[in-house]
Amino acid sequence: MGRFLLARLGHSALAILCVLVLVFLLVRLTGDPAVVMLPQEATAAEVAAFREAMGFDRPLAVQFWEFLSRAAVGDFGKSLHYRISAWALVMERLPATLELAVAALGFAVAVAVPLGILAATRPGSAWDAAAQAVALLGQAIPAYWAGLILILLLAVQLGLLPVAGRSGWGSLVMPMLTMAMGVVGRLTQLARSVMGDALRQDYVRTAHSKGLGAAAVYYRHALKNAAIPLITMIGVNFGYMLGGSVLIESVFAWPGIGRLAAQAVFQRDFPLVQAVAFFGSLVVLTVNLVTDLVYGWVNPQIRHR
Amino acid sequence: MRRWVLAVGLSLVGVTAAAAPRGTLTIGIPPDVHTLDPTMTPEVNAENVAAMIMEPLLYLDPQGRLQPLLAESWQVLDPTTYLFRLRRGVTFHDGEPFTGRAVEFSWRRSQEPHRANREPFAPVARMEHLDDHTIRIVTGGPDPIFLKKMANVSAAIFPPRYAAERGDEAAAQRPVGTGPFVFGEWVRGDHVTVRANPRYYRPGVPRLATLVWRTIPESDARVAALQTGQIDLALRIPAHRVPGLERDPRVKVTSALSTRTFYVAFNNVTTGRGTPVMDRRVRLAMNLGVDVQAIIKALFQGQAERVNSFIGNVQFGHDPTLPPLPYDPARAKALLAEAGYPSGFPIGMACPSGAYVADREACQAIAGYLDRLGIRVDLQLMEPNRYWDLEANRQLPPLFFDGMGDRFQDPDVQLKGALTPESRWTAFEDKALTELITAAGSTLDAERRRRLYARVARQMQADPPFLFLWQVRNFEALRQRVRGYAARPNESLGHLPFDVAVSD
Repeated sequence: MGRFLLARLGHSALAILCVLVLVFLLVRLTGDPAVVMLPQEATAAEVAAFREAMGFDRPLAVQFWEFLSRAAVGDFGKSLHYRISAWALVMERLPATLELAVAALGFAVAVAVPLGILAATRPGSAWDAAAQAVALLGQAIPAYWAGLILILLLAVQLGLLPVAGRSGWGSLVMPMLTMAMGVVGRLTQLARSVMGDALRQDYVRTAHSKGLGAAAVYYRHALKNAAIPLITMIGVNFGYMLGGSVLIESVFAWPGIGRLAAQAVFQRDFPLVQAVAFFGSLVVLTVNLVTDLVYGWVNPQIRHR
Repeated sequence: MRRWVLAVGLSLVGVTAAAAPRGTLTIGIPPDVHTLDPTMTPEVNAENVAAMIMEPLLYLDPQGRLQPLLAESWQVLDPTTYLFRLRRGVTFHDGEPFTGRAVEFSWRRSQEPHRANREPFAPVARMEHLDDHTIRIVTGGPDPIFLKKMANVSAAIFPPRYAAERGDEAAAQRPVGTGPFVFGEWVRGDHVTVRANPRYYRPGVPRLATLVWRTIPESDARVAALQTGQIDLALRIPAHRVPGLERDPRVKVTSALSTRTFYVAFNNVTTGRGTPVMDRRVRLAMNLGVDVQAIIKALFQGQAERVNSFIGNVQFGHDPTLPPLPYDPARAKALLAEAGYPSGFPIGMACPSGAYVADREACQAIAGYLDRLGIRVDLQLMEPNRYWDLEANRQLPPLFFDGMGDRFQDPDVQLKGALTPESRWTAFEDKALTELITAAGSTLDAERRRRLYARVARQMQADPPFLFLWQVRNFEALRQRVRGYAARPNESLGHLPFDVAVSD
């Protein structure tokens, strides 16, 4: 277990380094931040002075070395636009993103897994039809459009919820539903399919023939085996959600990491893009690692030694 | 050239009685505010928030007249020398007294090279202190819009002690000024709140107790937030939402023609050299061959105005007696034939995609009209930031679409910015035009400037540096409870503390 963890941490560090190098080079290909930051009437001399003051004129290798040596101690520099620590800006948005991701994923799991199981255990029933409809619609409806429809219905027509911003539980409902929608669709489909497969296995027939109750067979035997792909999908989706969603955060004016990342890219805020990219890779790698560990907990056959 | 301007009374437009501030106004703005230090960004929404807290020396009222603010009066001693008498007894929100030293500190601070918005104070060459509240400012050369620049929030006066002791970060995050509102809180990505300054020196100002700036990036969500009463004022409403809003009894719509003037530029400096656009007749033919009015009707539902030149219809010096160039495809074809291109020619044209409302569609329509003349346009749509990089380096094709606006409702900045060799955006050089623009930009005599700009516009029609297009109308919508608000051409909300109130 210790060796497994150590090896995984080594791979993760290498992956993060690769991401940082790639992001450093790619954002610089997008062009000169001074063009975006200065007013149109700024003269060429002012632009040159600004570039010098901000260090944009230094050789790329010098900038890269400085960036790496600082990033190694967790310093991503100051955002060019906010002029405060880029990492602090990312961390400042984390609670909003985390709140939305946990709520959306919790909702998705709570709806999709039971629905998928119901559909698998009652093939051809109304539950099965419902599960298939949810799977189809959840994946087919664009989140952006669904968000606007929810606003029109729940906020404008019924006046039940605030349209935008992050102010209390009421403001969480619509972004949560919008974000959960796609995951509910994918997860319902997967739960129905893997549970259906599990229920056709020999050990399930054996369990039934031993006289075990249906609930015990479904939940103690079949679900445990069907859980691995579900955990993988939950983990992958959680990783994505923690990176923030530009569309959903924009529609509901949710102050999360997705919007921050998009702005940083469009405004060529290099330090902020780098800090967000580092955060994103850290999250994905951590979630993957945790997912791997959870596999072993759920299924002792794949425990790492 | 001696001219005195005195403050007559204390009241500004709209201020009638010294009533206590009351109510909260919530404004929905599209972009996130990055900084509250106006020397750090030229972004208008950030400037608008900062303008509630910090003040420059003067104020440009909605009618375009200069009014006293931190300067009680001012005098133009000669074309490069100004005398300002500053208001006495004013303190910053933290108690630091306001004097001429703060003006000099703010000027010097604003010119540090790492600041992204140095323009308004840039003309200042030196400052002399006649006493604590009288300063003489000498500019590097005659600047006809210097006083308008002194009314821009980027020339706001900072408290020297606070700014020096607490540094840039505090000035940008928790600004302190002399303004009608005091900084309250800022939740980045969500909202900024400011509260009425109880010690503000003008009685009856502000009329609002609290002002909240809420970021709502999506225009549909902004409209919905307005309809549900979550916000009171929604900025930047797309034209297609206006008819629906006008039918809603809870809200009203206000609009102003934007100062941004759109055009298709001709390059005669780099990529256009040796191409047909070098010929005056070809450029004129392109102007005559595009039905600009039809494009305005189709793409902007008629909510834009055609311009007669590169001097916009809401700018100083606009000549309303000069009609725009007509749509005359027959004459356009004749001119092309005369220039030696009876069956047209192929040419490259670039267009930013998503930088402005309907930019892509506008370019496609223009290319379509040019095609009817036989001009086969190779249209290249580009991501805006990449586009501006190429534009600043004069690497765009011989034709390119763009728009330029200005903060001062004066053509000086954009004319110099797009048509004089010193500017990084200039892709078309015309000596005669440059001389006229430079002459108009270096005299303080308003009448002479007006005459010169009239000549500029005529010269532009005779030998077009651009294919002249339009200025778009900006829409804003507000709840019926908001009083005294009207949209302004440059999107500045500087009038808000003086004019705007809310009823219960």
